[in-house]
Parts: sequence; structure tokens; C-alpha cells
Amino acid sequence: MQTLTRRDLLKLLAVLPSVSLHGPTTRQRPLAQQGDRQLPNILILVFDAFSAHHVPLYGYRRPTTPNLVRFADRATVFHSHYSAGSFTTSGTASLLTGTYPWSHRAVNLQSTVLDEFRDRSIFKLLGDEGYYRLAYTHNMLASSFLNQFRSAIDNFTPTKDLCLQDPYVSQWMFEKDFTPAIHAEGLLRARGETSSSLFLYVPYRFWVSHLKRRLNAQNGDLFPRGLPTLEDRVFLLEDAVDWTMLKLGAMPRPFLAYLHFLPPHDPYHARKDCVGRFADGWVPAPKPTHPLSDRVSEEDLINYRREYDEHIAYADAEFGRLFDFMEANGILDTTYVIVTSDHGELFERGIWEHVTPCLFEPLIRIPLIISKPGQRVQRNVYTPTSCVDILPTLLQVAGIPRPEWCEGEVLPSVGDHPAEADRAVYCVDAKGSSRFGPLTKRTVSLIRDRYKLIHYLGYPDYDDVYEMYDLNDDPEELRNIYSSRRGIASDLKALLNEKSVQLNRQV
Amino acid sequence: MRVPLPRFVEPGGLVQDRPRAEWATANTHHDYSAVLEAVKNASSTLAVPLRRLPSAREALYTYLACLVPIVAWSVFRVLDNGLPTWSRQMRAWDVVGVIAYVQAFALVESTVVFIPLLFLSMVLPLRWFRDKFVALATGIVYLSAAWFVFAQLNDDALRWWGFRPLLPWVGTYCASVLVLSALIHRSSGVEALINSFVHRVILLASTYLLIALAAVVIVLVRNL
Repeated sequence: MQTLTRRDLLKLLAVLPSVSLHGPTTRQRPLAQQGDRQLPNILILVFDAFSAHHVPLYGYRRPTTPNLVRFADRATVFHSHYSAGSFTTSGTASLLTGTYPWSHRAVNLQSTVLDEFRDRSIFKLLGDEGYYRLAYTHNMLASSFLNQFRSAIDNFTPTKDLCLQDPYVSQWMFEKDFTPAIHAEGLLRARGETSSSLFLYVPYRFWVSHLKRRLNAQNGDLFPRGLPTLEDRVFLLEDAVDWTMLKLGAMPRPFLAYLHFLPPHDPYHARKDCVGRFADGWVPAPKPTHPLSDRVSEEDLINYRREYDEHIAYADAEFGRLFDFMEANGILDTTYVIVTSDHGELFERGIWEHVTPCLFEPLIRIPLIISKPGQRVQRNVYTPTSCVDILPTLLQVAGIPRPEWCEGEVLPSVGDHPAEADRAVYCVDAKGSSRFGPLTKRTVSLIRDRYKLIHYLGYPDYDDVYEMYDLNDDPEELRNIYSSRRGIASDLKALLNEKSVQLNRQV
Repeated sequence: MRVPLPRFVEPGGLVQDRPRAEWATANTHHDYSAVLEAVKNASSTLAVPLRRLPSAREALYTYLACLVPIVAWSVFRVLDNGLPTWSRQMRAWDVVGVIAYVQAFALVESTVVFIPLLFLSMVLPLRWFRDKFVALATGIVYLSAAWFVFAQLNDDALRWWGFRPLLPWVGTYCASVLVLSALIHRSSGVEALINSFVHRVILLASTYLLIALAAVVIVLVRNL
């Protein structure tokens, strides 16, 4: 049997707009009906490890995202939007449950949300209102708790479906017992150190690496640094975007689609047209090395940053293709399109990437751009917002009251809710703590208005340390004003202390 | 030119010659009893490699001995890397589940490693392998275990080197296996030492086997 090639798919997509003019199944109703209410579609696009600090919309000097800028022309841009976690698990869990990590407790690298949150996800709540729910992720960390929500997702597409190579078997072989199985698989496949398989790992590693090298050689013209990959998975963002276009045309209405794509997460394997785009010799002002850093050299950080920016440009190019498709097919007129991330990325103070307890702005400040159905002009929101706000906002859109357990607020300008000037938002990193007990090794940041307080607890040689920055006067967080602005610092500390019950509770 | 007649081994151990033309005769004259006889003889040819297998006791002892490094390594990895992380992230029953997956895989891996040894026993001359099966198979597995740990510690080479640069290492590994085999053949002391080790390790290995079987049950229960 012949398989659908990428070329066939593109041909199909080319004729889709004309089909959509006639076919009632592909042409969307202006707004889908639910009883006597009209429910819009919702598309959440998460680009993994996408820092707002590398987006020109937020003041970055390199033009990394021309397509996102086009999209923002008809959307609401949130300029002080923060993830509630510093890496995929906690950030995504907060987005999908509307709660902070101290509540859902997906605080470790591959942990899941507490059992009571299985029914507190965006999928469950909107599903109860008749939404068709689709979810996909390239990221195996996110797949752990998406798997927990599986019963509330109509179409949870396996990661391997959009991969060129994905040797992981847990998602389809141990569907019922995914989390323990994927942990075991991680150990068998030697994610990090040596494998628990004494003999079979060696031929496996050799075989998988051989296949990867072959794929890279076949696509070397298009991806000079290698194909986009995460550990043993190899994929093309182009495939994911093509698939998204097909799904957008074919899904029952109203739909909620949560699509979590890996680029610009490292490794930064950008497409050829983006490689070298930012070889401009720009050297950002160096920042002092942080005591909790890995002491990565400044030269390496500059190179990583450039490659990261190129990878963002690749993700943006593919987003541009999707944006054009949505615009041409009237999807933007019927759908809330949300572009965001799960966390950012750091290239400063001796820290590279996002596995760090240091919650500086490039790591936790992420893009949030929301296009309301039919929105034609750009709006800007400058008050601090958090990823936990997305769930209550979408619930309001669907006419569902905010649940009592939800810790987010309805986003200003999207809902009818006015901006809360004195709002505090938080970010928690507690990878080294047990998710069941007090989060004894943790960093918590609090942002209110122009000030940001960071509290480090439980780190050797950096225990119970506070840092405070004025984000208006010092957006690069170079001057720690914790000691000099005692009054504001104690106000923020008091706010943080209010959360200590949740941070220290046993679950 | 006349084709040499095959030699058949009867279950009783007698060796006799049977003409290959018997098949043709049976088919020409529709003499089904002859066909059945021929089939019987053919099946008796399977007895040749099967009879080259080690005895059940030898096979079991060797299998258990092979199980030890595989399970021990996986237990070490679980305790060293997995358990501290998992216990922070999962409830006890889920941690048991993860360990069960790892141990069940170790059982599968032991079987996968053991089968080629049986195959070698079938294809190599009896005095090369079958007659010293326990010592040779155990020795090869333990020597290989050391090599495979070395390979894992040099993971980057596996990931990036490709086949050609690895060839000298594969050659060195094969040479070391041959040297060990020669040593076992030449020195009865070495053979006795390995056999003695196998006997001493049986109790531990039996415990490992029980754990691994329990792990399989746990995996099944969790996925029902």
C-alpha cells in the first residue's frame, strides 16, 4: 500500500481552501453552537523553551520572529507573562490545570500531577461543555501527565506519529501504566548515564545512532546541524505543522487543540534558511556568574544564544505557514489562537539552557499572544500574568465559572476582567524536592508590579538567600536591591510567606 | 557424480545410512508409508542439532549464571540512579512498577543472551563447545559483561563513531573471547574454577530468577 508522502500532503493542503468553501465539514460555522450558547474553537500552540527575551515583540534586538509579529498585529500581546515553572513538567502542568506547582506537584523532571488533578484539567472542564479535545506533544515530559488526562482527551495522538524516528514503546505498549513504564524505559535507554540493560543497550545505541546519522545524512542539505531531535526521537516541525493544518480542517466543532511542539528547545538544529541568519557578531553585555551556575563560558553562551535565535527563526517560519493557512481558511475568525511556551531559556551568568534553579527573566518570562475570533487590531497588556491564568480565561470564554481550586485569574483584555494592578505571580522550581513532602529544596520567584523577589532555599552554600530586582529600572536583573529596599522586600516576603503553607505541605 | 549419502542419527544413538533417492521413489509411486518413513527420518535429522544441546541441568545452571551479571547490573543501576529519583516522584506501588519493568526486561535480556549460546552449542563441534558448555558459556558471558560495561562507559563512541572506527574494538573483543575459550580448553583448572563458581552462584541466581519472575507478574497485573 502506498503511503501519503509529504508532497501528497502539500498538494492536499493546496486544494483544502477551495474545498472548505463548499464542504460544510471543513468550512467552519462562525461560532459553534452548544445549546443556545456559541462556543469558539480553541487552539493552544506551545513552542517549548521559547523565551520572551528572544522575541522582538518584547524588545529583542534580533528579528527572530517576523511571523509572530504579523500574528500579533491582530492579537493581544501580554508583555509580562510568566511561566509557573522553569521546565516543561511544572510549566505545562500549571498551564493545563490553572494551578501552581505547589498545588499540582508536578515538580520533578518526569513527575505527574497529583491524582486529584486528573479531573481538573482544561480538557476535562471544556470537554464537559461539548468540546472535542485533541492533544499532541513532541516532549516526553509533557506526555507523562497528558497521559494522566487521557480519559478527557478525545484524540491524544502518540508522539511517534509525527516523528521520523521514535524508538520509545511505553506510549503504545504500556498505555495503562505509562508513567512507571516510561521511567523504566528512560533507565533502559540510558537517558543521562549508563543503561540498566547490560548487553542489549550497546547494540540498541549503535543501531539508533546509526539510523539517526543516516537520517541526518539524507537531510543534510536542509538541516546542516542535523534534524530536530530530542534524545532518540527525530522529527520535523514541518510534519507537525502539516498535520495540524489537516486536523484544523477536519476536527469536529467546537474543538480544543493543545499542540506542544519542541522547537526551539535544544538541540538547536535549525533549518538551512535560518542557519547563519544571526551571524551579526553581537555580544550581549556579560553578567556576573551566579553561585548556582554551571559556569559555562561566555564564548559558549554567545554561540548557544545565536544558534537558539536561529532555531526560533525556524519555529517562527513554520508558525508563519500555519498562520497563513488559518488566515486563508477563516480559522482565525472562529478560533481563539494562543501562542505561548512552557518556559524560557538562559544564556547568561554561566548558565545555559533551563535546567537550573536560577529563575531569571529569560527563563521564566515567556510569550503569550492570544488572537480572539475576528480580532483585527493589536492590543497590549503590561500587567504581570501567569500561565495559570489561561485555564480560567478559556473557561470564561466557554461560559464556565472559575473553579474554586483554580489559582489563576481571567486574563485582562481577553475576558471581561479588568487588569489587576497589584497582582502577584509566582514561579517555582523544586526539581530536587520530593513532590509528596515539603518542597525543601526550591527556588520561588514572585513578581508584583515592577519588583521581583527570588528566594533560594536548601542549596548548599546558597541556602535561604533572597535576591530582589526592579524590572523597570533594571530589566537585566543586574542590581540586587534586596538589602537596599527593605520596605518593599518585606512586603514581598510577606506575600511569599503566605504561600509557605502550600509549599511545605505533605500530600 | 554420485551425491554422498546423508547420515542419520536414530533416537537410540545408532547411525545408519539412508539413500536420499527414497524421497523420489515415494513421490513417484504414491507410496505414502514410504513418505511417512521419510518424514520420520527427516525429523530424526533435527535430533542431530537438538542432541548437541547441553543437558537440561547444564542449560539451567548456565542460564542462572548468565542471569546474575544482567540482573545485578540492573539492580545496581536502579539503586544508583533510578530509585532516588523515582522515590521523589512516585508512590511506592508505582516505584515497584518501575523496578518490575526493569527486572522483567533483565529476564528477557538474559534469555536473549542465552539463546545464542545454545545456538553455538548446536553448530560448533561437540568438543569445542558442548562438552565444556557450562564453563565456556559462563566465561563468555562474564567476559562480555565486562566489555559491555566498558562500552557503556564510552557511550559517545557508540553514538558517534560509526561502524568502521569500532571494528578494532569488536576485533579485540572477539579475540579476548577466543583467548578465554582456548584457556578453558587447555586448562582444566580454569574450567573447574568456573564450574565451581557456577555452583556457588546458583542460590543467588535462583533468588534473582524468582524476583524477575515476580516482576513479570507485577508488570502483567499493572497492565491488565
